[in-house]
This record gives sequence, structure tokens and C-alpha cells, in this order.
Amino acid sequence: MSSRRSVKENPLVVFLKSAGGLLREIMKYNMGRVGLVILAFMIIMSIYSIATLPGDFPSKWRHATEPPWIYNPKMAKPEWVRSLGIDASKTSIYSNLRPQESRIILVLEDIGRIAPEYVKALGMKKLSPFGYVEVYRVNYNLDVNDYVQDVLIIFEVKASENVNLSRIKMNVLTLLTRPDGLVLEISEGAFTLDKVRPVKIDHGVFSLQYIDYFKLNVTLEEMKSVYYIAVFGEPRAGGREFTPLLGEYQVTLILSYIGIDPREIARMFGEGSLKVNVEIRVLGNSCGLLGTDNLGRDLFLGVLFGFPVALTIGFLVALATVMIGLVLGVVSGYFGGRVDEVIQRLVDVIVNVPLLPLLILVGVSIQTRGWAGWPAMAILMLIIVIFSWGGVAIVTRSMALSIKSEQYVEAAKAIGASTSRIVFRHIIPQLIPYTMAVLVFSVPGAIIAEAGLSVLGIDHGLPTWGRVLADAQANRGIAYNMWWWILPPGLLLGLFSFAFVALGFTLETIVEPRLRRR
Amino acid sequence: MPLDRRSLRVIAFRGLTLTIILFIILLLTAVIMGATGYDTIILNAIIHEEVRAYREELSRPGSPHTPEEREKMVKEYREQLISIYGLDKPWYLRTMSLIPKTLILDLHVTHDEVAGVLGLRRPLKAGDAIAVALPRTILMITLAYVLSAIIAIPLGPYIAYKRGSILDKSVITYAAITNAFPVWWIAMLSVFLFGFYLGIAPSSYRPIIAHISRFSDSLLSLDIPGALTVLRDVLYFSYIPILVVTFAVLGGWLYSARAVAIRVVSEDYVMAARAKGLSEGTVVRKYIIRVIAGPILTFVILGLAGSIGGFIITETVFDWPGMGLLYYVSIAAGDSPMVLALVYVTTLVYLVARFILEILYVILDPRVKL
Amino acid sequence: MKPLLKVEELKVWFPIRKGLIDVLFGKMEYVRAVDGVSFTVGDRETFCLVGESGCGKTTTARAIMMLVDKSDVKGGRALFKPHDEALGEVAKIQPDAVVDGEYIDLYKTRGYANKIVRREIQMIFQDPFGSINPRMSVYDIVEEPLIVHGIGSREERIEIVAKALEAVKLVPPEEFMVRYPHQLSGGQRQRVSVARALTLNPRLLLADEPVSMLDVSIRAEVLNVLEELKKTRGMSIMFITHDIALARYICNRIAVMYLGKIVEMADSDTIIEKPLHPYTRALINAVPDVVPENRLRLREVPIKGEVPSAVRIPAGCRFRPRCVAYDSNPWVQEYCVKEEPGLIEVEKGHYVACWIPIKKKL
Repeated sequence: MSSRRSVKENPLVVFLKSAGGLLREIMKYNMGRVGLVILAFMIIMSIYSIATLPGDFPSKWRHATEPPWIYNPKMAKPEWVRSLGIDASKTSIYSNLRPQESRIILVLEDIGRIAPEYVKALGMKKLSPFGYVEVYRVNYNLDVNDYVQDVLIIFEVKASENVNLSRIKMNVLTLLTRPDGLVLEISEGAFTLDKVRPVKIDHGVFSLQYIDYFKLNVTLEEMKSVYYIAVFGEPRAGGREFTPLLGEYQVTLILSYIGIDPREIARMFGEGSLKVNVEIRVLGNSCGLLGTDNLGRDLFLGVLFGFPVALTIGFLVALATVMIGLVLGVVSGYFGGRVDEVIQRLVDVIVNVPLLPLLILVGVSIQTRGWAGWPAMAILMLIIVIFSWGGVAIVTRSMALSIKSEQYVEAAKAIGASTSRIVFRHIIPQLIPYTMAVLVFSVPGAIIAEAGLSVLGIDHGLPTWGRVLADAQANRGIAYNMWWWILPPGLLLGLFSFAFVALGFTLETIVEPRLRRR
Repeated sequence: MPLDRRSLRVIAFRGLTLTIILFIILLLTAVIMGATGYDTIILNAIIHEEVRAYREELSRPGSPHTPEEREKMVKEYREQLISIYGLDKPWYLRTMSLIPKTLILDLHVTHDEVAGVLGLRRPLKAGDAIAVALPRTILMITLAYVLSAIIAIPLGPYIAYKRGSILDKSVITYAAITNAFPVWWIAMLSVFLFGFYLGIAPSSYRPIIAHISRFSDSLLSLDIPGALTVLRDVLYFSYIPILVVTFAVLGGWLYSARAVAIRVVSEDYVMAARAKGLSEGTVVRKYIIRVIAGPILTFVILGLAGSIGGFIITETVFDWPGMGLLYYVSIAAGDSPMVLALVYVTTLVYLVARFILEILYVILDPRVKL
Repeated sequence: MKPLLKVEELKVWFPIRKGLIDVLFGKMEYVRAVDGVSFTVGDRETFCLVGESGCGKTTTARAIMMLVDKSDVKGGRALFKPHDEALGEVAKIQPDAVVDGEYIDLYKTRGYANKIVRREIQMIFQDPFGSINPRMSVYDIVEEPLIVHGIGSREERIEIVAKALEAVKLVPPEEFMVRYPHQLSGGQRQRVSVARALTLNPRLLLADEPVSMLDVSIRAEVLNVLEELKKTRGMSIMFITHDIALARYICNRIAVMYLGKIVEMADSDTIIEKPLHPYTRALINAVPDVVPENRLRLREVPIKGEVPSAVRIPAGCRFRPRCVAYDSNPWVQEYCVKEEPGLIEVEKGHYVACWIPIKKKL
């Protein structure tokens, strides 16, 4: 009888059908639609986050004074504020640069041929570079009334094993050609290739030349505190005030390799057994999608990592809370007697425990001495679960009590069904709609609590929206008007929470017909 | 209405249960503080610091003591400190011995920063610290609760009545939004917006300490015009926190009042009353308000009782020296006596409120059984 | 032929659920729902238990189904005669539950032995809307007993379910299997309930007012199904109803219950035509007449007062406060007040618990 194959549908099909039905039902309500759209956005962002951020991102984020963050401008506004007409210089990153000139220089005058700005800036006063020399040039347009934080040169050396890097020395010289024609030497450095380090604007290098050129009446010591605006600015009042100098700037980077026979170096570059990747960064006051914090960390990345964390933690904690509440409530209601008494007294205690102080207590304790290496986040979440299931248990108990006396439960007993079958097949399924609504409502709880704890200074080690807000709070981001530090994580936290509140309201309306509009 | 023996028994039994709950919560707090051992670390650090200071003082030039004598004195001092802080006893004795003292609030603040955050100095009794912090929290949070209740209770049935209208929808949206955004984040924003950006409110609320004490001083000395002048300062330093908390809790109040009223509005007897041709106003007054008074009373009493514990995070963000900030600083400093005292007082008030409600239920509804 | 079910002096008393405090301070009180009931159900017999609501007939059924808490069974026993095969299995795992080598004491069975006897006794409940799980399909509902007892492969189970549905006239079965309770009428649901009871092929079927909540027009469909099953499957049925007229229509024997006790028991014809207990007479007189003009005449129902509470059962004869015969027979009053009458066989197969016929016979 082939027609009888359809007596029982595939459980997956049944699930998909009911899930689809539920979605359609939710979409009938405005709140439900809004909730679903936000939830979809959160899920997409989570997937994007997991796909793009490296696995060790949390540890990278914690080490704020290490690369890559120190190569970013600090306290930079989001890039898009420039299009709103806000004066914030842009950050330009020039990577994978190829040298415009490269040759062996042995005679002093040759440098003038490949880098005339060198002569313009320094004449023959300095010892000219010799050896194998590379010249890089990049242009930067300062288009708004703002300064630039720094000009940073980063090197990355790659070499085959037989190259002895400690024997090759690199001299770095950075020149800046300003729109007013002045060529300034802004930084210099010298190190062997096994110990490359980034080079930044050095007030000691350019100050004297700058004071001479503008005939300023300031000391070198005074110059030290204003050099970063002097570089991209015009002096007023004898060098005590500056205004930004707008226009096209050119950064010239002259690298010369010495230490061994220049022909040998040229050969190594030629055959690729030695590679030096150069990156020039002009650090403006705007950077990235959401700006940077006081240490140069890209806030977009920090916030991006918050998506999967919020979803995972929220769901795990809510699921655990609701499951424990459901099972204990049903057990309490169904079995009654002494079991019920014990569970009820337990509920009495846990619904009255002041949860937030307890969490702070545990959080501070973990921070003071560590809990045998347990991750702080896991402990905090565990405590939230342990002290949150009471409310669910109270409701599911009373529901189980009423279902217990239904005739179909009696009927199931009459056919000899075991207790577990009655509980799982006949009682719990009736509680699922209610449980779903509670589950949805409780998803944001954990992540809001986590954020609150972070703001109080309890560090659980993961970059979350709460953690970012906590850093903003701790570093007086408010006082520096760094709205881009406070708004996005808070808004996302609220948006996330709002999605589930909206979905919860909708589900509640669906499962509780009395609230439905007639 | 006289209570029969059964009701009295019910009440007595409930009171006993709540007392046991209170005791268990205190015990739990003490165990977590003691067993995790973080107060030991903090106390050791304090002792270390005090001993170092003492040693330096002794070894100043011109000291009459020999080095041996000095070492002995330092050692004695250290032992004295250890016994003062109770570090010679195991944690369970140290913390458990605090519990009986907690019940009569015979506890002292042990950390300077805890007293400092309230604008006070040690020696300070825990009860006194609470007596100072509580009015500040009442000014900010309890007041906000009262404002919310005053707005929400009359409005709730009205909104329930207009179910599905624009008003109803906007109230639900408002409730969902305030439910979603943490109060302390709104607090952060308000400090940023009104304090730093617009400059129409303080950016630090710490000076409220001075203004409140000046205000109460002038009141006590019956200097009414002076009090009024100070009141302006008090208001300047409190209107933003009060508004922020009211804004944040009002949504929840409105939603609850509406939800309670909706159940009643769709009851048959309300339909019958309307069908009888009674005016809508009469229906709301006589048939709705009367029925929802019970649940609303529950909300109000529990809300107010819960509010005196303060909003820990919000008060920290505002740097508002009330119960919440006291709570946080005590925990962070590992000041076990103060933490126990706070847990005790806040839980006690909450449980007493619940107890009063339960007595009311028994009196008002003889069917209530345990 | 030995009876299939023997109930002997069964007592089911429920403690009154009070607060914890009453348990601590006060003493227990009981609702004596079933207060010493004895009867038998013969093989292939339809036995009826009749009485007004609250008299303990449903509790009796639930006690036989082992649905009341064992601690509430305060006395007596229920013996059941299963198939030889099942008897053998129970004897093997729990010999102490076997009585006289043929019967099983239901309240002594535990665990698996209990499960074995459950297969042989099934029940249909009163409420067609409450007795089947609204979240399960008809197939799941009817199949459940098979799964619980581990009967058959999936294909076989489908076959059994289909047969059961055909037997209760839910045809074509394929169409009904995928439906959910809310898509069925009351009569159809009740037949699903019957089908569920049938899948295990029980020897005894307890039907607790199976048609009282159905519209009069569809009662017949359920009753006919039961009647036919009895014939084709050779089941015994214990039928519980408050409607003595209905009882006469379907039952071989009728027992009348009042306040936890059986007051009269006999062949259905005997009991309707020659009722001996004043309560039985009252029940028969309360049946509305089908002839319309007779309905307009106000008939006298020989009973007074209200049913007393099962917590405080009157001393002596428990029916005395409501008994019309008590008032009109002063000679018997001393007995009625003093002592509760036992269920005495006054004629062959006709048992009654009333001092009047008992004393008259003696």
C-alpha cells in the first residue's frame, strides 16, 4: 500500500513546515517584521565577522599597544564624517610600493640625479647615502582644515635562509615636499635588516631646519610640543600658533642598503632572495568605518567581533536558562510531593538573590585571583544561568500542574507509557510555545549583563560591545567628545536587544490569544 | 477583618520561609567572598602596605630603637593587624562571624575608598554609610519610580482601552526600546550630550554630596530661603539622572499597566457593563481600576522596595554617590562587612515588601493557600 | 466460566489536598470516593456501573486502570485474569502478584509486570476533546500504545493502526491518519480513542461515559462500534454511565452505585423491571419518557435532599437521609440508623444493600 507511506511525515519536513508557518505568522506583525530584519542583519554580520576576523583576534585586541593597532591613527573619527563636511584629514595607506628609482650609488652627486629633493632639503650638508639606494614617492592631498597625526614607515623583510640579515644595514631618510615648496626631512633611521622597526616623524630631525626656514623665534624644546602640527601647518605668531597648510604633499622615502657589497645586494633584490616590503602611512584624523580608539584600535573590527559573541552567548545562556527552568518546573509540577517542595524552596532562594551584585562579586574575585584558569566569561555566564531559571520554573510548574490532570495524560498512563514518555511526549510539547517566547525574551539578558559588568571594569577578556563601551568609559571617551566610541556599541547592544524584545512581544501575542487584537 | 487561626499560620509560615531565604542569601554571599579568597588577597595587600609604612616611620633617623627592637615591633604590629583583619582565622570563621553582626548591622567599613566614595571618612559604621547613601538613591531612583508610577497607572487602562490605536502602538514601541537599551548607556549618552556637548548639565555628579548636605543643613537650621537657593543646585545636579531613570523605567511601567488592564478589559463583566450602557469613564473607574488595583499595587510596592538598592551601573556611570555606587565600590574593594550589610539591607527590604504583600493577599482573599 | 475481573472490597480514599501547614499541624481527612466495592465482570460480558456524578464510578474505573496512586487504595483488591501467556510472564518475574494460579492482583504488580497487565485492560475516556493529545496526529495517537509496548515493526504498526481505524469506521484510514484532533468531530475523536484502546487487543475495555459528552445524534455511531467490537473481538466491556436507560440498552448486568458503594446489582432486565433499592427506583423514575405527552406530566421522583459530601458519610445506611422508603417504613428504621446494610443476594443473581428487602426475605 504505497499511499500509507505518508502516514508519518519526515520530522525535518515537519520542523521546516512549522518553522515556516511561525515565520509567516511573525511577519504579520510590524514588530515581528522589524525584529526579524534586525536579527537577519545580526546573523549576516556574525557570519561576515567569523569569515574575516582571525581566530586570535581577542588576544590581538587585548594587546592594544602592539601592531597592528600602533600603526593606526589614534582617536580618529570615522572616515565617512568627511562627507558630512566635518574637517578630518584622511588616513592614506600606501602599501605594496615599488621603488621609483633603484641603483647603486657610489658617487656623492648621483643622489641629486635620482632624488633632487634630497639636495633641496639638505644640500650637501649631510653624509649622502651610498650603496644600493631605492627611492619611493607617494602623494597625499590635505583637503580639509586639519592636521595629520603622523607619517609612518613600516618595513617587512623577507629573505631566503642563506642571507645574513644582520650584516645588511638599512639607512632610512624621509622627506616631505610641502605645497609651499619647502622640502623637510621629517625622519631618519638606521638599523640592520634583522631588526627593522617602524619610523615615525621625528621632531629632533626636522625642527632645526623648520625654525631656520621660517625664521621662528622658538627653542627646540618648544618645538617639541608642536612638531606634529608644524609639519603640516604654517606658523603664525612666530611659531607659537599654526594653521593647517592645505594642498598636495609628497612623501619621499630614500632607503640605502650598505654593509656588504652593493652589487651583491642588487643581485639579491634582483633574484628575489631578499625582499623588503615598504608601507607608507599618512595618519589623518579619520580612519576606517567607525574610527579608532585612544590606542588606535579600529573600532569597526572591535564592534564586528561583538556580533557572533552576542548571538552565541545570548542564545547559549537563554537556552540553558530556559531548559533548566522548563525541566525543573515540569518535574516539580508533575511529580509533586517532596521533589516539588525541594525545587520550590530552591526557586524561592534563587529568585531573591541579588544577581548583579553577585556577578560583580564573582567578576572582581576572578580578576583578583583567577579561578583556576577558568575563562571569566564562562563563569559569569554560568552564574547567570544558575540564578535565572527560577521565573521560568514557576510558570512551567503551574502549566505542568494543569496539563498533568488532562485526560490525555491519564490516557497515556493507561496505555502503560513511561513517565519520561509522558513528560517528553505529552507535557513538554504543550509548553513549547510559551518556552519559545521566554527564550526569545531572555536572549539579550546575558549580553546586557556582560556589558554592564564590563563597564564596571570587570574584564572577561573578549572584545564585545560591552568591552568597547567599557574602554570608552574608562578612558574618558565621553570627555573627548568621541561619540564614535560610545554610540555604535551602545546602539548595537540596544538594536540587538530590541530585535528580541520585538520578537518576544510578537511571539507572546501569537501564543497568548487574549492579547491578540480582535 | 479579623484573621482566623489558619491565616495567621499561613502568614507565620511565610514569614519563616522568607527569613530562611534571607539567611541563605547572606550565607551565599559570605561563602562566595570567603571561599574565593579574594578578600584575603586584598587584606594581605593592605597589611603589607601598612606594615611598610610603619617600618619606614620607625627607621627614620633619630629613632631611639635598635634594629632588633624595631624588627620585633614591626612583627608585633603585623600580628596585631592580622588579628584585626581576622586573617589569623580561616575564611569561614572570619566571614561567618560577620553574619550575626550583620543581622544587627554592627559592622564597620574597613576600606578607605569605600568611605571616600560617599564623601566620608573612616571609622565609619556600615549602618551610617547606608544612612548617608540611601537618601541620594531615593532622590534619583525611587523618585524616578514614583514619577513613572504616577504617569503609568492612570494611563495604563486608557491605553488598554485603545488597543491597536496609534497611542497603543507607540507605547509598545517605546517600552520595547527602553527595555532594549540599558539605562546606564542612556546615562552615558546623557552625560556626553548634556554634560559635555551641550553643557547644560554637570559632567560629574559628585558635587551633589556637598549640595545635599548644605540643603539638609539649611533645612535643619530652619533657613528656608537658604534652603531654596541650595535646592536649585541640588536640582541642577540631579535633574538629568532623575529624567534618565524615569525615561528608562517608564516604558516598562506603561507596558505592565497596559498588560494588566488588557486582561480585565476583555473580561465578560466589563463587556456586560459596557453593554448596560454605562459611560466609558464609569466602566474604567468602577470595573477596571478596581480590579487591576491588586497587581498594580504589587508592582508599585516591589518596584519601590527594589529601587532602594540603587542602580549599580547607572550610579557608577553618573558617579552618583548612592547605594549602587557604594555597592560597587565595596565589592571592588573587597570590603566584606559593607557588602554583607548592603546585601542584608536591600534583600531585607525587598523580602519585607513581599511579606507585606502576601499578608495583604491573605487578608483580601481568603482563598489564598500555600 | 470464571470471571475476568474480580473486584473485592475495594476502597479508594483521597486525602484532602491542603496546605503544608495543615499537614504539619492538622490531621488528615479523606474523600471516600470508593468505599468498599465488590463486583465481577465475566468473560465477554458487558457490565454496567450506573450512578449519579460523584458517586465513585469513575474512580472505580481509574482504580482498575491503576491510574490512582497506590497509596490512595486503602483496602481491598482487584484481580484480573489475563491470557495464559501473560500470566506465565508475570508469574516468572513477580510470583507474589499471582493469586489462585489464574488471577493477577493488580495492585501488587510493579514495573514490567504492571506493563504486561496494562496491555490487557484498556480504557476509553469521557471527554473526546481532552483525552487525545491535540498536538499529535491521529496516527501518532493510535500508534502510541504499540510503541510503548514495543509491538511490531514500522510497517506492521501501520497495518495495525489502519485496521484499528477501519474497525472504528474511520475510513479510509490513510485519510484520517494524517489528521489532527482539531480537524475531527467529537464522535470521530471518541472513535480515535476507541481505536487507540483496540490496538493492544485488550481482553477488558473500560468505557467511562464514552458518549455522555457527545451530541445525541452521534452517540449511536460510537455505541454501535463498541457493540460490534464486542462481538468480533470477544472483549468484555465495563461500561460506566449515569444513564440507566442507556445501560439497559447495552449491558448484560448492571450495578448501581451510590456514594462510593454498590447498592444494587442484577441482570439489566431484572434491575429495571424489579428494582429493590429505593435509589434504583429513583434513578429509573428520573429517566425522561420518550412519549412527548408523558413528559408534560410531572412525575414523582422518589428521592429527597442532596447528595452528602463524600468526606462525611452518614452513619448507618448512607442513603438514609435521602430515602423516601425510610420515611414510609418505620419498622425498618432502627436497622437503617444502626448499621450499614451489606450487599446481600436476595434472589439468584440479584444483590441489594437495603434493609427493607433484606429483612423481608429473612
